[in-house]
Amino acid sequence: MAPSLQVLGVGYISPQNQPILIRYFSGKKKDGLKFHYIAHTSLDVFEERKCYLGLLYAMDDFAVYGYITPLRVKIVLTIALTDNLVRDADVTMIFRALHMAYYHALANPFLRLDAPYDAVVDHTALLVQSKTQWKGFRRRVDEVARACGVNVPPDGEET
Amino acid sequence: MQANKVQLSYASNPQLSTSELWNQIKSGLEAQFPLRTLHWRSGTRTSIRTIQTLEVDLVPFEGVKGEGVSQIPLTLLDKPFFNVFIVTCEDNEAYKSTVKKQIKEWHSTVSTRKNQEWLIILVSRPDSRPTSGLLKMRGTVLDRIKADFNIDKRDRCSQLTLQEDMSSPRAWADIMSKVKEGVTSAFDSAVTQREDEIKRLEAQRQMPGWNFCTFFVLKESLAISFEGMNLLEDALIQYEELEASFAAVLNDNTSIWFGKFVDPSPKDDSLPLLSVTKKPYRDLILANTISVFDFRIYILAREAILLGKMGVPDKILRKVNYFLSILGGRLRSFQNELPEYFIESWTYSSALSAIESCQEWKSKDAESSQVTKFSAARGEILELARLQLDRLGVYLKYLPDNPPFSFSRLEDPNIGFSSGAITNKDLVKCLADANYFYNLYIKLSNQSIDSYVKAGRRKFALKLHGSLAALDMHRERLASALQVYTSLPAHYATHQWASLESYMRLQGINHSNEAHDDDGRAFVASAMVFLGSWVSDSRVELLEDVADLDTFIATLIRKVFETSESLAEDLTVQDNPVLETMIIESSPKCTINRDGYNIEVDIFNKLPCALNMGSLVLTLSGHESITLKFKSNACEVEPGHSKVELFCSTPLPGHYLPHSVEMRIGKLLLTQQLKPKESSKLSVLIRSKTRLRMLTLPVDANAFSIWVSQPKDVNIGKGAQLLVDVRTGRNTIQNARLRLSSSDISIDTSVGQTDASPLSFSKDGVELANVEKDLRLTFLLPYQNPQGRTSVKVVIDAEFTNEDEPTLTRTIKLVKTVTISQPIAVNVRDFFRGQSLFSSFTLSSVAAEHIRISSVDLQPYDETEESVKISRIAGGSESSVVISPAHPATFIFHVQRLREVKDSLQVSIRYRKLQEEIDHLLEKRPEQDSLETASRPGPLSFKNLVSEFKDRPPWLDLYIATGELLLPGDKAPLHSNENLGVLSDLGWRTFSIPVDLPQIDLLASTSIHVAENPFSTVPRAIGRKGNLFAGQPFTAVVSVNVSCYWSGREDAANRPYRMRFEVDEMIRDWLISGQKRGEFCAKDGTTHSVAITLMALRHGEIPMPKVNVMLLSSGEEPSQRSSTPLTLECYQVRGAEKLTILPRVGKTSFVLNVGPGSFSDTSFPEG
Repeated sequence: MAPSLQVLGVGYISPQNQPILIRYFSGKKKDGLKFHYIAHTSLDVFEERKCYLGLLYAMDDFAVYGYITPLRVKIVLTIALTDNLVRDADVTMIFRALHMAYYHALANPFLRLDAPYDAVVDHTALLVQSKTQWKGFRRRVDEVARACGVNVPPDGEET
Repeated sequence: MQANKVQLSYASNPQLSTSELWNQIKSGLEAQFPLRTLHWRSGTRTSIRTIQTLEVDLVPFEGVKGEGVSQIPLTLLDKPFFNVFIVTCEDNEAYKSTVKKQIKEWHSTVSTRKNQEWLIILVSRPDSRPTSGLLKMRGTVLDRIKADFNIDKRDRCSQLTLQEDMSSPRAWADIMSKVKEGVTSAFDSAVTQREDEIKRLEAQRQMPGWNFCTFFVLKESLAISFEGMNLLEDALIQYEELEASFAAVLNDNTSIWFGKFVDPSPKDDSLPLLSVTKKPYRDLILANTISVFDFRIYILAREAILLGKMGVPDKILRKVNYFLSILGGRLRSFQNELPEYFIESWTYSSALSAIESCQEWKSKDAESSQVTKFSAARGEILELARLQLDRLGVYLKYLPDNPPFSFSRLEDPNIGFSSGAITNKDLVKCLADANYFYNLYIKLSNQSIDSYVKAGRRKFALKLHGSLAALDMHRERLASALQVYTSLPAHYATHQWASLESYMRLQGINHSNEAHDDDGRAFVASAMVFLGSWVSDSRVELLEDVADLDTFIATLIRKVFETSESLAEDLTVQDNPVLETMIIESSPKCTINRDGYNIEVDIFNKLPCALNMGSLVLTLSGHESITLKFKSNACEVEPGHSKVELFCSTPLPGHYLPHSVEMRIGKLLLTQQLKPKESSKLSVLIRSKTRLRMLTLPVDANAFSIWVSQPKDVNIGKGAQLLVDVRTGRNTIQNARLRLSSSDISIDTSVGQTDASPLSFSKDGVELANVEKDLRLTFLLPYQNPQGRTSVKVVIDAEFTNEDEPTLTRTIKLVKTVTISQPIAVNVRDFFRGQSLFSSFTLSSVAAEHIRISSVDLQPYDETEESVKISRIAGGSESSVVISPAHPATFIFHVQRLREVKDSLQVSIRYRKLQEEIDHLLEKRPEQDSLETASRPGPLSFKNLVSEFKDRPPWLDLYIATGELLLPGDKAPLHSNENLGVLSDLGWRTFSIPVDLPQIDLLASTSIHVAENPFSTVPRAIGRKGNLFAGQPFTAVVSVNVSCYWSGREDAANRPYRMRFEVDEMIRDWLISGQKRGEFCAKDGTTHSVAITLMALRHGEIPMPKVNVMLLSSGEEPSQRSSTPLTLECYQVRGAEKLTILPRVGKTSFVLNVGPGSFSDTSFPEG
C-alpha cells in the first residue's frame, strides 16, 4: 500500500449520482457534513471532466481525487494535503482497492433480498436501498483505509 | 534577469553606412521582424518545436559584448545568435582593394564566437545588372565573396537587390530564410552546450561544495532563454524540473543554501503573490540567503508568468490554489516564527492578488470552455480565501466552532506567535469590526458562488449557499436563513442525497420554531418531508447535532400534528412515506344487506406513535373515467401495520384500478398516488413494491341496478327506442332520478313508454318515487340521429335514496355501450314467373355471432288485407335454424297477387343469439352449491365465452347440433330436453323490415321449341320428338311473350312496345339458320313467333339456345315519358330443359377403282 498518503475519507456515488457510501476516518461526528459536501461537490468536477482519474480539486487542507468504474460508479477519495509529492500510482492503487471492495461487497447474494424483481439491470438500486445497513461494504472500505495507515475506529464505536 | 529578445547584430562597410541608402536598408531590415514560423529541430527532443513568431532585437555589431567573464551564467540570448554584414561594392576592383579587407576584419571576429552564425549581404542595384555582363567571365562580386568566405557547405552570402520599397518581404525573402536557419542552428548549439553544462553540474550534486542556488541560476538561464525564444512549454518544463529538484533537495534536509524556511518581512502577508519584482529574488538567490518560502513563491510566480503568456489563466489559478494550500500547511509548522493570523492573511491576500493578476492575462476573446474553466478555478480560489475568513472568524469568535465553519483545521492556540502583525487592510479591519468581517464573508462567498455558477458548478454553489444560511442563522437573521434552508433540500433531493437533504431540513425545522413567519405551514410541510426521509431510513447520516434522536423525533411529531390542527387551510402532502396504504384484497366484497362494497386496506404507520386519522378515502378508477370512492370512519392508527375497513356506497360492479389514497389528520391531508408514474426510475421500485392490482367489484344481484339495451322487438318502420331496465334490489327506493345522455344520439326522456306507474318523464330525466323492493321497471325511450352507428355510448347519471337510509344519497354514474344495429343482414332476390313471384330472403349474421332463427314470415303490412297470397316454399322447416357468418340461411316465399296491392309487405324475423341462450342456460342452471352462486363472477365471464365463439369451439358445435351444453370445466352436460324447457321462457327477439311488393314493367318470357315439321310452327308434341341427330337440321320456333302483369303503371297494358329479340349463338353446340335477330311490336299478352332452323353440332344433352329480349322504344309520347325507364325482365320458359341429340350412326364406304382412269368417289352417309 501507500502509507505516505493520509486518507481522510472515501465516497461512493452511484451512476445516478446518489450517494452509496460516505466514509470518513477523522473519528469526529461533526466532520460528516464536510465529507458529504466533498462528495457532493465532486460531482460538479466529474461532470466537467467526463472521465478522469486524478485530482479533482484541492481546498485548504485536503485534496480530492476521483475515479469512475466501468459501470460509472464514482469513487471520491479525500486525502490530506501535504507537501509531499502525491504519486498517481499510489492514488490509483488505493482506488483499485476501493473498487475491489465495492465489487466484493456487491457480490453478496443476500443484498438482492430486499430489491424489487424488475430492477435486475440497475445494480445501484440495491445499494441505495440498503445504504446504511450495508455493514459488509463499510468493513471492506475500512480495511482499505487501515491498509493505508489510517487509524479507523472499529465500527459503531465512533465518538 | 528578465527574459530578453534574441539579438541580431549588424554591421556594414563604411561606404554603405555613410550613404543615404543605409537608413533605407536598415529600416527595411527592421521591418522583417518579428520572424515567423521557425522550426527548431533539437537533437535532445523528440519532436520539432515550431516557433510561430520570434521577436528580434537589432543591435549594432560594435555594441555586442565580448565573451562573458561574469561568474553568473547569462542567458543564451545575451549574445547575438546572428551577425549580419551588409556591404556595397561597385565592382571587383573596389572589392579587391577595400571591401574584402573590411569583410575579413568583421569575419575574423565573428567566426571565433561560439554559437553564433553570420551572413554577408551584398547590396546591389538592379540597374547594375546589365553592365555586369562584361564582368561575367570573371565572376560577380557576390561570387567572389562566396568564394572567399564560404568555408563549409552552408551558403552564408546573399544578395539584396535594391528596390523602391525596401520593407517589402520579397526583397528579403532569401536573406530571411537564411537568418531563420542561422538563428535556429545557433540557438540549438547554444542550448546543447548549456544543457550539457547543467547536466554536468547536476551530476555533481552529491559532491561537497555543490550549491543548489548556482544550479538554479544556471538552469533558470536556460528557462529564460526558452522564454525569449517564445518556447514557453520548454521554459515551463525547466521550472517544473527545478521545482522537483528543489523538493528533492529539501527532502534531503541539507538546506544549507537557504536562509530560514520563512523569514517574514513586515508586508509579506499582503504582497501580490505572482509578482517577481516585489523582492530582489535573484540577488537573494545568488547570495544564498533566500528563504524557502520566498524561493517557492518565486518559482510559482515565474511559472505563472509563463502560463499567463500561454493564455491558460485557469491553470495558474489551480496551481496557485494548490500551492497556497500546501504552503499554508507547511507554514503551520513554523507558526511560532510568524505573526498572528499570518497564514490566513497571506493565503487570503495571495488568493485575491492571484485572481487580479490572472484577470490581466485572461484574453478577452477566450473560448467559452476556457471561460468555464477559469470561472471554476476562480471560484475555488475565492472559496479558499473564504475559508481563511472561516478560520479567522472562529479564532475571533465571530463564528461558532461548528460545521460548516470548522471545516479547516485550526492552529494550536498554545503555540505562540512572533511579534508583528498582519498587514492586509481588509483583515486588519476585520480584527476590530465584526460587521465588516460578516460583510466581507458574504461578499466573498457571493463572488465565489457567482464564479461557480458561471462554471456550471451548481453543487459547489449550493455548499456556499448553505454556509451563508448558517451565517445568517448565527447572526440570528432567521427569516433569510430559513428561506435558504427551505429551498436547499429540494436541490439535494433530486439525487436522493438524503443525508444532505435531511441536514438542511433539520436546520430549517430546528429554527422555524423560533421564526414563525406564517401559521406554521412551512414548518409542517418541511417537517413532514423530514419525517418521511427519517422513516425511510432511520439511520440518516448527518443528524449528529441531535443528541437524543428518538426524543427529538417524538417531540417533532407531536409538534407537527399540534401545529397542523391550527392551520387555516388544508395542507396537502403528497406521497409521504410516513403513512403507506396497501390494498390487500384483490376483490372487494359486497356489503351484506346494503348496497355497496367493503374493502380492507392495510395502513403502515411508520411513525413511533399513534395517529388520529379523520378519514381515509381510497379512489378507484374504472373505464370511461368512472371513479369510485371508498371511505372509512375516523380511527386511531397504531404504529406498524393495521387494517381499516372502507365502504363504498355506489353499487357499480366492474374492474377498477387503484388510483389514490387520501388520509386526513387534522388539517393535514396525506395523499398517495397508487397509479404508476411512468418514466421515472424510482417509480419502478414503487410500483413493483406495491404490486398494483386490478380490483374486481362483483355483481350484487340484490343491489339497485340500471341496464340500458336494445328492445326485444325492433321494427325498422317505426321509430328507434332504447330499453331501460331498473331493478330496485333489496331496498325500497324512496326516490330516484335518472338522467340519460349520449354524445352519439339524442335521447328524449320526456316521452317514455312504460307500464309501470311510479315513473314520471320529463326533459330533465326520469323520476321514480316510492318503488317497492325487488321490483323491475322497464321503459322505452325514443332516440334520434344514430347516423349509421352500430353502437352508441349512453351515460347514465342516477341518484337515489333508500327508505332504510334516507340520509344517504347514492350516486351512480355509468357509461353503457348499447348496440343499436341488428346482428342479421337480409338480402332479397325476386324472381317473376308469369303471374307468380318468388322472393328469396337470405339471412346472414354480421360480426362473428351465431344466431338461432325461429321463423321468418312475409305478410302484408296490414295483416287484415287479403290482396296477396303468400306461401312459404323453402327454408321453412319446423325446427329453428342457426346461422353464422359462414352459414347463411335462405327462405323463399311464393307471392300471388289477388288484387291491386296498396300497402307494402313486411318481413318479421324471430331470432335470438346463441350467446343469449347460453347466458340464460348458465343463469338458470341448477346449482348444487349456493355459495357458488354468490361467488360467481357475474355476466363478465360470459363475455369470455363469447370471445370464444369466434373460434367455434367443439362445445358450440355440439350445442348447435344436439342442444346439449357441455362447457369446458363442467362435469355433466346440460341436456337438450331440459335446455329446451329452460329456454322456452327466454323468449325471442323480433326484427321487422318493411318490403315493397316488387314491380316490373315488362316481363318477357321466351322459349324455343322444336316444330312438328319444317312447315309448321306447331310445337312437336311431347313424346313425339323423334330422334334428333347431330348434324341433322330441324325447324324450331322462337316465341316471345310479353306481359305487363307486374307493372305498377296504369296504362302499361294498352301501349305497344318495340322490342328486339336475339338468339344467343352457341357456336360450339348449335348452328343456327334463319332469323336470329328480329324486331317486333309487342303488346300486353301478345306472343311473337319466328321459325328458325337449328342443327346440333355435337351429340349429347344440349340446352336450347337462349333468347334475349330488349326494349327499343316504349311507344310513349315523348311528353308522357316518365323519368324512370321502363324495366324489362326476361326469362326463358323451361330454360333448364335440354335436348337429347343422338350421335349419327353410319358407315362410310370408299370405292377404289384400281383400273386405269382411276377416280375416287365421295363418301355419302347412309340413313
